[in-house]
Amino acid sequence: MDPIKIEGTPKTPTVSFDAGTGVIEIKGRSIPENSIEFYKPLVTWLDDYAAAPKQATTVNIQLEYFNTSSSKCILDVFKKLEKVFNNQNQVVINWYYEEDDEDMLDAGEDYQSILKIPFKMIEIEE
Amino acid sequence: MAFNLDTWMDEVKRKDILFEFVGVITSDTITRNLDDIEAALEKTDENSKVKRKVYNVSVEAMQNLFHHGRTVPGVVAERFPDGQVFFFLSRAREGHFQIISANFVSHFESKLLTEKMDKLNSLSVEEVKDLYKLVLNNKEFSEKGGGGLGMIDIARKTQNKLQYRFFPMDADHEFYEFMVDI
Repeated sequence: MDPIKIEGTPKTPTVSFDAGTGVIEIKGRSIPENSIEFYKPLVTWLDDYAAAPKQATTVNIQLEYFNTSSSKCILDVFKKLEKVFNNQNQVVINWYYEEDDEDMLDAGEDYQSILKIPFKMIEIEE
Repeated sequence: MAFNLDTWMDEVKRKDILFEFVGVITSDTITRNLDDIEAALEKTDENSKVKRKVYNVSVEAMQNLFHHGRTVPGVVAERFPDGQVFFFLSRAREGHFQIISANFVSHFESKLLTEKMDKLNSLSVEEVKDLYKLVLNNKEFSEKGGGGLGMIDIARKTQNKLQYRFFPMDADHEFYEFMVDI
């Protein structure tokens, strides 16, 4: 499976999905007006990955800002990873947030409460 | 007294405006506006937590205008055939900002918006949070690409009541003013 590497823009995040290492990363800003267009190929990639995943998948999410249009797409990404987890594989989602960013911590906790995958909330210094 | 757009603008501009946008909203204008808002916030001595919240609410308010601000009544369409929206960010005092956005809506949209905002305003902070999660997990995207979450997110992040006014424009349209304190 070819990895996905996308450079970030002022409105879209840096993405790195690597089936060889099992490391999946989304970092930066995700505030496009219509995020479906951006996230659709990522969700499709995860569908393929779910068919033959690594035994351990590490997911690093480090977002500075994300809009509500992206929030649903990010949930779709997590739901694909939940499928991987439910098939007896290890999956951990590392949710990074800046130390005073309660809204970002709350957002991570929302996903944690909706999904049945292990989340690690990781505070980072500004 | 009939609604006068110029008088309304004069009234809004009496506030301590940090950023204003009046015009046609596109993906590119949103990008530029958000850059300008970030730069304007950077110049203030507010802490990063407040700045981040103001920026976040600006993103949602601006994108609401993008998805819903294309309706233009005849009287305005002559001047702005591609649409006309209004966005103002002002600072009331240290740590307190206000966003005012406005656009034209149909009577039907005005009714839907009123119901939605009244409902949100009647909920507690916890109830707004629960509603956000419910809509996040269940609701499909609308045709316009919005997730139906923007207004809920604004209510949740600000923890303030959403203020609104509608002014009749012509037989089919109203001027919709949305205001939220941060």
